[in-house]
Amino acid sequence: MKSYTFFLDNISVNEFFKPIRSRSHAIERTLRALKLMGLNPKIPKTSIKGELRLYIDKMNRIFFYTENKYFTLNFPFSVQGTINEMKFYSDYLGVIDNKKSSDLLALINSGVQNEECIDAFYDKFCDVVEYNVEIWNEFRRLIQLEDGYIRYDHDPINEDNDIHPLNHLDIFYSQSSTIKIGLKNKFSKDELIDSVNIKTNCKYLY
Amino acid sequence: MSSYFFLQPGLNNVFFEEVKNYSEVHKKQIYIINQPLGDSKYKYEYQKAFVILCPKQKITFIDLGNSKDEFEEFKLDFLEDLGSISDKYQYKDQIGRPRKWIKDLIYSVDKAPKDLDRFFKQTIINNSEDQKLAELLITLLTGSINDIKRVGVKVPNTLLEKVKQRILLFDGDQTRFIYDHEQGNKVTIQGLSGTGKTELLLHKLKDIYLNHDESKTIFTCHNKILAQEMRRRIPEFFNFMKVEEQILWNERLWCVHAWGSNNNKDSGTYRKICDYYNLNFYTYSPSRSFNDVCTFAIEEIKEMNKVNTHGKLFDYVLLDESQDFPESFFELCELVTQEVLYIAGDVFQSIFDVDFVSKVEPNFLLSKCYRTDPKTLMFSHAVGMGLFEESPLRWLDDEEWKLCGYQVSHNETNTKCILRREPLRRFDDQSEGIESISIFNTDNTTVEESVNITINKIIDEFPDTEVDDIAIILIGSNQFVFSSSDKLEYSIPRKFGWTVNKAHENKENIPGQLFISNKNNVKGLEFSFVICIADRIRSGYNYRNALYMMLTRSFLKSFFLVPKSSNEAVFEQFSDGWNEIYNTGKMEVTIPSVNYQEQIKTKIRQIGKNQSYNEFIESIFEELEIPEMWREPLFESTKSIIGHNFDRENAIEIINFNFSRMEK
Repeated sequence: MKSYTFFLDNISVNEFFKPIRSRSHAIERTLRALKLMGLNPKIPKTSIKGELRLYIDKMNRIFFYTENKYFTLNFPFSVQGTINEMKFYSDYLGVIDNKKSSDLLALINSGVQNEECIDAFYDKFCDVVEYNVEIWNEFRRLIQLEDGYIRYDHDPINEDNDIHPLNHLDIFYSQSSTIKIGLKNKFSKDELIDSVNIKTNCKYLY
Repeated sequence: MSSYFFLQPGLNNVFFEEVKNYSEVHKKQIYIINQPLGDSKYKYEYQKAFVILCPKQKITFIDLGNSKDEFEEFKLDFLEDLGSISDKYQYKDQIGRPRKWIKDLIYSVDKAPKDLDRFFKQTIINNSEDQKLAELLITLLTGSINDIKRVGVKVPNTLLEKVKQRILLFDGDQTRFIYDHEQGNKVTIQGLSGTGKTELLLHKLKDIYLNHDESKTIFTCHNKILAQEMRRRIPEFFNFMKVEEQILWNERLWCVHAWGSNNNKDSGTYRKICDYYNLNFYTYSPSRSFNDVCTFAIEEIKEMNKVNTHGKLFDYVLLDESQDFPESFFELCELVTQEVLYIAGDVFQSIFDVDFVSKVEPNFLLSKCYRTDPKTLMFSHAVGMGLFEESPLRWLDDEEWKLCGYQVSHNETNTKCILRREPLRRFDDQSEGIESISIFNTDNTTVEESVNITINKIIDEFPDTEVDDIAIILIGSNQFVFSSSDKLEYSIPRKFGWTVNKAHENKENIPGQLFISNKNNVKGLEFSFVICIADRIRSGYNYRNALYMMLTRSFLKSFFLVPKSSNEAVFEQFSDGWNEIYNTGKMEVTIPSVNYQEQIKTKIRQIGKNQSYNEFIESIFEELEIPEMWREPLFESTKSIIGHNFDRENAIEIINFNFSRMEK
């Protein structure tokens, strides 16, 4: 299993931990993480406020950590190289360079996926990026992707017995489909990884 | 006509000629009117009284009819109306009631002054607060309304405040464009970027909309994003100009890009024309240019005699960014327009067309760029055309230079062309001491470091700098542009606490965030400072045109960050060229041989045959970072293999293959 760890300062924590409420948010966060990993900025120890970890195995996931909140998303790209020179790949685009990640971000930010009419969709798509079949296929793949969103909260402020337990997992982000699973104890960073890793022993609810 | 002088249409007197000459000799902006411009409801019985308006001078009433009582009545009525215009545009809250400013700012004489020098000495305003107040009154009287909340009445202390509180005052040419209605049924207006073309079109639109009740008008441009932006700006502008009539979108007024899409008949000018005349509508396809579809439409309309059967679709067409269009689009618009077709464009952007002069021939030539320092403009032109280099990319004859607002002379031996631009008092001379271009060698610094140093320099020199005052624009290979902007997006918030807006990802200018963009999202934008970052300077026309565009976005200063090591000769040439312009106010350029001038023209002509195809291939060269020397042979070989085919994948494959063989 390949794993990479990056530290986050306050600014990055604020960017990554903005609420995720839609597929677009999840894709946007994933692409921003990809850009950050490509940069691999050096952060002074005193400024470290969070962490980002990428695991590439049978499970491809990215994990974001602060002291009391973690979340994880599916990471839909393959990776090569060392932490100082990471290269990301997808089947459609080959190497995802800075331009391709910016183009995908521009498409997500434009809201093109919400256009109602196919003509308007195509027009807007071509306005935002120069159309080619690869970028369209990659974009299509991303918006159809299962994003695998899971969040862990240690939330003393909003704690409400068994309705909103001090430690809990939220699975899925939309109001109507989200599942809350209470935890008896505080979860460590590794426990979250372990609980979603299909290669390690399962956790049981009962 | 001069840009310094404006005479209200229909007025005539020997004295006005004298004032006109005076304005040109002394380079003073002077207007003579007998009613406030901008609203036709202000009319007066006495026809022999006039008002002279000139910044920093008192507003002066002149009686040329020797009728004291009627003159007094005229003055009272005129000032009452000025008071109500001031109220209408909410100036009154800031500048106060007329009785507060009449005493110090209004002057009157009962006959034409014989000695104009003496007259202007008598009416001069020395106090800078009063000067500003008088200028604001002139803007009201000439219809050049400013947002009083932005401009304010206080005299700005710093240069940056001056930039932000600058008063927009139309010059003679600009005012004539809006208020002179006898201009024929096709009016072209040409000007460099920053000369206020779009603003003028908005004023014209308002004038048409208000004064022609049943008229149908369309505002159109090539770029869809720009059209959307204008559609947002028009209601704002109408509200600001206190237009009380409702905007009847898609009934009386359209604001759309030129092409349009199948699903909506009101989505584009060409689309609308096809719908109205029942023509075949063609959507975009790589093998069909806009020129093709316009030509089909013209043929269909003419063959079927559709104008006779259906009538004209529009009364007025306002067409912006004309340099983006083929001639056939103008012809199509003209064919379907009842009253006037207004065409506005930037001369320089079509300068790589070989038939520059014959194509331009504007009714209005706006040569004064009020945004950019004239020296910055000269430098940007020289960089765009490669004038500092041994082999220029473009050469203009004297007439063409003049069209671009230059004063042209030659040295005695006629081997050098000496080019100057008239200095402009843009921000009351305070900006004159500033070196408006700064070239920075980035050899020993990372992109983050060089931007960091530049922003610190700006803040040191202008401590009241805010995040919206600066833009960073990158040009070069995709890898350079996009990886640099990613690095800056990370470093700038951490150095300066500013949030960064990458316009190539967000497609808009977000207030309160630092604007970073590639060359594609900067059209129409302007900033106090622009930081232009390049890697290896290329000679392609698109590249040079983009450099010109980037460098001319600044009010005060453009920083040009470029590595010397990859641009050895050019770096020195640019630096020397700028020093000459900065120190002497002119540039002396060696005139290329007639033979070489012809070569340039031939090259442009060859490439210009199918501009869109060329741009397509050029963009692939940029993407693959093909060295300049190989581009021409590659262009030819690609064209001979795939013809005018826009299949990108195919073209890339062929260029890559040919290039690999060439290298061997």
